[in-house]
Amino acid sequence: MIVIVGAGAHGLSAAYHLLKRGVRDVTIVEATRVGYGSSSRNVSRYRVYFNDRKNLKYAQEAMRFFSAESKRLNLNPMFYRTGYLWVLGNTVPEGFRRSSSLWDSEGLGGKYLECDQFPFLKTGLGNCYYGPIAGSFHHDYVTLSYYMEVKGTHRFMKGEVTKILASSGKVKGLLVNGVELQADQVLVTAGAWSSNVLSSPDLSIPVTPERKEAYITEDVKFRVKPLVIDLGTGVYFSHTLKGEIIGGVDKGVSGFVDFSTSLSNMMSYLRRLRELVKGIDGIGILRGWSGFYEMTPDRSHVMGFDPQWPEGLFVDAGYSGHGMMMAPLSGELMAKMITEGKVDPLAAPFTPERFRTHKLLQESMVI
Amino acid sequence: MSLPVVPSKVHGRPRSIRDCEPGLPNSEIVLNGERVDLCSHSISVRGSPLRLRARRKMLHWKPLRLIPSLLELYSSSFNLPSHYNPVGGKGEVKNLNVDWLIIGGGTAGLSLLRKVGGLLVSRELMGDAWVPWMDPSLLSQLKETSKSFSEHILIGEYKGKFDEGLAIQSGQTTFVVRAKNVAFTNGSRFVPPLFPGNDLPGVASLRLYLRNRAWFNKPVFVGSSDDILRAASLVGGKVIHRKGAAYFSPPAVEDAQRKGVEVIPAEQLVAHGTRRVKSVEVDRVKIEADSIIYGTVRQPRLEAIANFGLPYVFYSKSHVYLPKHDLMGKAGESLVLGGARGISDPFTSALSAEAAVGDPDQFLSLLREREPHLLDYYRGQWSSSPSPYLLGKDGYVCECEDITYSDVRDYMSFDQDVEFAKRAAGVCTGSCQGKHCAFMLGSILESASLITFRSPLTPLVIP
Repeated sequence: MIVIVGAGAHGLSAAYHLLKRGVRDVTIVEATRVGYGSSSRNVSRYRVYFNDRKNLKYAQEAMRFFSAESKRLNLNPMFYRTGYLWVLGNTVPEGFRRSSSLWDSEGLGGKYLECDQFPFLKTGLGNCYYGPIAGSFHHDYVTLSYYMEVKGTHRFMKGEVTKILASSGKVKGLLVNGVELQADQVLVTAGAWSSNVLSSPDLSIPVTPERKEAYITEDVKFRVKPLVIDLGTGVYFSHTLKGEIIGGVDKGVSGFVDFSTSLSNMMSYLRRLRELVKGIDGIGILRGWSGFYEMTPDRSHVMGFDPQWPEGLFVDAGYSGHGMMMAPLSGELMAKMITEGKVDPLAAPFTPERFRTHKLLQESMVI
Repeated sequence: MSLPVVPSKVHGRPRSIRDCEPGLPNSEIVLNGERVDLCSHSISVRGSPLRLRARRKMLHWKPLRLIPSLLELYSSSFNLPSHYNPVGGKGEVKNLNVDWLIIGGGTAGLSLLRKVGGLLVSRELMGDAWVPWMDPSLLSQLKETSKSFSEHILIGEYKGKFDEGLAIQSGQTTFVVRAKNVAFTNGSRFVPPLFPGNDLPGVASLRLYLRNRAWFNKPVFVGSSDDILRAASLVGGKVIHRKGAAYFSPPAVEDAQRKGVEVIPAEQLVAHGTRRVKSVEVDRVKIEADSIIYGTVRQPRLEAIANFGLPYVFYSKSHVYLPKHDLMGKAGESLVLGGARGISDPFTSALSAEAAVGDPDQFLSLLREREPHLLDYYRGQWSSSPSPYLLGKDGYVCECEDITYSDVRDYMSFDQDVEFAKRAAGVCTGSCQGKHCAFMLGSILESASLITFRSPLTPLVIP
């Protein structure tokens, strides 16, 4: 039996792709409810614009896969290309220029232009950079599509996993609410909580939670198509097809803090949003929420296994703010790894042993 | 003055205000960039004639996915504000530390203020105290309190809990309050029932009816609460309630009978009409009416209480979501009093404040006499009744996003709770943030929990 710890987008995607490969003996253990963590708290945007080439390649393949998958799934994930727009101001920071030359060398087609060319922005904002290979989707429709597909076949169990059990170098099971559940293979997709599940001295991964907030405004006619990133303030936002403007600030709080929101963050977000976008000077914030970015030291995800771990233990977590867009492909790669025992070349740079062997990625593009 | 009519967001259906409470569906519209309060403006706005009244699940139709730009076209067909004009003035944030923060300035809130002092915040004083059946001596006592304690009263909108404290928007100032003790006296509301035509203009809460009687000439009353009996008593009308779900107290029934009110248990209600209710069908019997006035059950305004972090339960006897509290109104370290704990009678509401500060006797005897439907909650054991909201198999569940009960049912084979319906069908994600649909749907699905009610509780609009 395979046990998946965590019923978020990654766990359910893996469960679905296991089922597609004919694996039916799967139990999914969830501590709260389907999609409780980052899967229901993100702002549902995708991009290929990373600044480590390995992430960029992974994202390119993940977006191709997501696009194809979105045509097959039960619910329409509304995978939709909108582009990303960086507002850079009067000068272009050196670091940003380095990233854009990498994107140029990979043929990702971005370009520098005057922000004034975007009619929804207020005038006089200086330089912008537009990256076209990016867009939006509906996070719940991804998570729930996978859930609906596997619900009839796989078992669901509510409980908290406190320990992975192993003997003579092999996984034997895990403790769910203190009760032993036997398993031949265990996949940990518990997002920010993954490091709690993998917490013994010889089984650990460096994933730490950082709480970030997101907000939506009242409805207004659709106009902000790309995701706009205001580099100077860290404010980012975009229109949803429903009519709200969704976004956030890059300010975070480390640790397992409450999922509350800060009034001052919300107010400074709203003020900056109204400074940037035309015609919404009196708009209000309808709702705010928060969630965890599951950060790793190199701001890149962890997938696969460490050869020093007991055989049959896998992880897929630590996406550092860009996990939702990767969920379809990552689930497929994990299903492949678990059933065929092979690590796909795309996944190889992301295995957990890199933290032990100090082969970290060079990623800093966290949005 | 006639009933205002505005087009709905997605289906372009004619809709009207149902209740003057800010944050509820259609209580406000943005016209030419300005916010217009529909409680006091009889405007009529027509939407674009082209409208897609499709089932929600059409969004998931596979051929549609081949042309994603259709989604943008669909979105731009919504009736939405084109812009928002600037809010005048200069906003500021002020911090306050208080011993007591009393949230809500109705009967219970003012009665507590008299006992404990502190700071009372309310969007308008007196709340329900202006209802025609209010006792004059109690009313004058409340008026006296609001005068003598005026320095303790802040007129403003409670916005919910934030990292920094509890936020209140009062004019251009945002107050951040840190309080040693918090009392929720923020009252309750009536949520519309489910039946075909339940979104038509003319289907309104009894609160709007009492406030603007001129808009409703021939009402039929619908509901299972004492309040609806009292409202119908004013004109000797008919009260329709869902068969098997009547939570009337004996004194209220006697009084209504004396005043010629006819109480009719029914299973099916239909409202007919195009731009407003023209007639009503009750179990296939046609009744002439121009409005349906609902007072289904008195549902505490739970969003603020749940948002503060207090737990709640689904009390399936009278289908209300109640904050967990004891007989004295204690909920954890805080208090819930009056309408916020489901009480409807004004005297009992006032006395709930006395009980909370240690004088329970009179309160307990009134509670037994006038709110008998609540008593089983304190015994910890109750039997369930059918949902008082369920008067038809279809109708609108979520007005803000134009989602019908059929849309929700498409997904109910998976998980039957409100959170799942929110994620799968999109209910409770619109401009009212679930203040109506979460409770109606929760009752129909007998959902143990609702959704997470997030801050701000009503839109945060700052200069």
